[in-house]
Amino acid sequence: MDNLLIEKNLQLLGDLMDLEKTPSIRLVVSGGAALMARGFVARVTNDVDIIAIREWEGDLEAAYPLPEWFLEITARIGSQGDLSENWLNAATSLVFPDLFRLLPPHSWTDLDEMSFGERLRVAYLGRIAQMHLKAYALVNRDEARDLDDFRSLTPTVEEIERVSAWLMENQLASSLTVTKFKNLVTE
Amino acid sequence: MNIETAKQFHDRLSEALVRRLWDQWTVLGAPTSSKEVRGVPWMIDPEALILASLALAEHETRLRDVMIEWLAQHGSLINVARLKRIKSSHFPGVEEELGSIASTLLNHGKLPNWKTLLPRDSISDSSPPASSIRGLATKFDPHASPCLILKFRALLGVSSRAEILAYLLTLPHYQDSISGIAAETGWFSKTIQKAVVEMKSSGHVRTNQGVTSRAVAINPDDWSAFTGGQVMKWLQAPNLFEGHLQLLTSLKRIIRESPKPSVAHFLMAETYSEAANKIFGAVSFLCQEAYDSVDFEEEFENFVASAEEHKDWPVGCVRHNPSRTEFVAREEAAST
Repeated sequence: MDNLLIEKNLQLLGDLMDLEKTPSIRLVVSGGAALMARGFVARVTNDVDIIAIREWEGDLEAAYPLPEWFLEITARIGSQGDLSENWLNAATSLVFPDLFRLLPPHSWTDLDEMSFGERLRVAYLGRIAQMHLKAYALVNRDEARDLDDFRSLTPTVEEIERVSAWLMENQLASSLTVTKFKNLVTE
Repeated sequence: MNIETAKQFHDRLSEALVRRLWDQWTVLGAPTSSKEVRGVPWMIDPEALILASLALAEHETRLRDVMIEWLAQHGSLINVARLKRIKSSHFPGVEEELGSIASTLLNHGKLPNWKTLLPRDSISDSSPPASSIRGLATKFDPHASPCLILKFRALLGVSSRAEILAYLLTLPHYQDSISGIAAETGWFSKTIQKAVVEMKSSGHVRTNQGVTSRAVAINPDDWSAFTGGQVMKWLQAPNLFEGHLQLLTSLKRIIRESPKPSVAHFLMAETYSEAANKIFGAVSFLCQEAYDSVDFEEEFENFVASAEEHKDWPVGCVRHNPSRTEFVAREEAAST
């Protein structure tokens, strides 16, 4: 999915939620979909990764598990288009439910939120939060796109230092791994 | 899909379906006075026809009157147990209408065993005013191939045996498993099992041990005097009608709730995909995956036009894969 297709499907989802009179939901999205929506990269992604859910008042909760009614309605859309049934998922939250709580506080003031109908709002994480999450991904898995994505955020030397310290402080990686990370991203 | 298009599809599809019901009622001897009757190329399922007619009666009120006339004459050939079972599994929305028909017939002293179709809380005072029954229905033609199920019932009695024989006669090798027969005829497997055990004693039904299950088999020559050597296609009519009714229900919802065109399009594509599975199951016809991209409304137009023209309906083929569904004409499907 490119950014246009993601927005088209989210609009369809929001309109369908209004028609079916479902509960409302506010999603916080990370990963490729957020990078594209915020204009950091121009690529495609297989899914939209929900890292957290915001209460209507603004409090944050882990995205996993997503409400059953929400899974059903997203699967309906997935089954009809050229999408997978879990095109909208909480995969990161499943692996590390509290990861979003470790993000710097500034992350939550730099959200770009869009409304799709009356019941669906989607907030895309900003540059700093994405940088931290991509750093976490880089030290925990081996996917080439993570490095490309991290570099697309054009981190400064200071920001790389802060992200490295964040990885250490939260015990998300060993000192050796963090050193390798710094070498990798500054090559 | 915009609302105007949905309205047009709804009106055209409902009218086409009503016409296809008229075709069947006419063949069965109901007083339809229909001038555009087309031949029926499959064995008519009387219970499914009754239930589909009730479901479509809001589009054509005369269906109800014609059905009552026909039932007054032939109602004893209707299997009430099968009627109830098919209603529960395929036509849950016609409970009230069926009770109303039963009430009308009972008020005329007809079909006492239809009492079980009355709603549990019904009282005689609440029965609808009795329609007059004028005795206009003619006897069905026992030699007409689409009437084979009724013919077997007239001969053997109203039980699952009529459908078992009629169905087996349509198969290339004249045999199927108990569960296969049950799935096709709308009966419980236990009912079929019990009937087959008794039918074997006649010497005209046997069971063959297959690789995984026992197959019930008949010799077609034993039955050629009854069929005249001509047996029509078997059709799972309950599934066929249920699929079409789902499409009408979805179109009605779009007309009623006026969603955005993109949502209307999604709802129709979603329903069409579900209905296609039922319709494909009903016609047991070749199903091919489709990869080429064709506009959905164009597909649906072909589907509706087929029902209107009767050319390929219902033995055209709905091609389906997880992402899209399309209707293709019978000739095209047969060649792929």
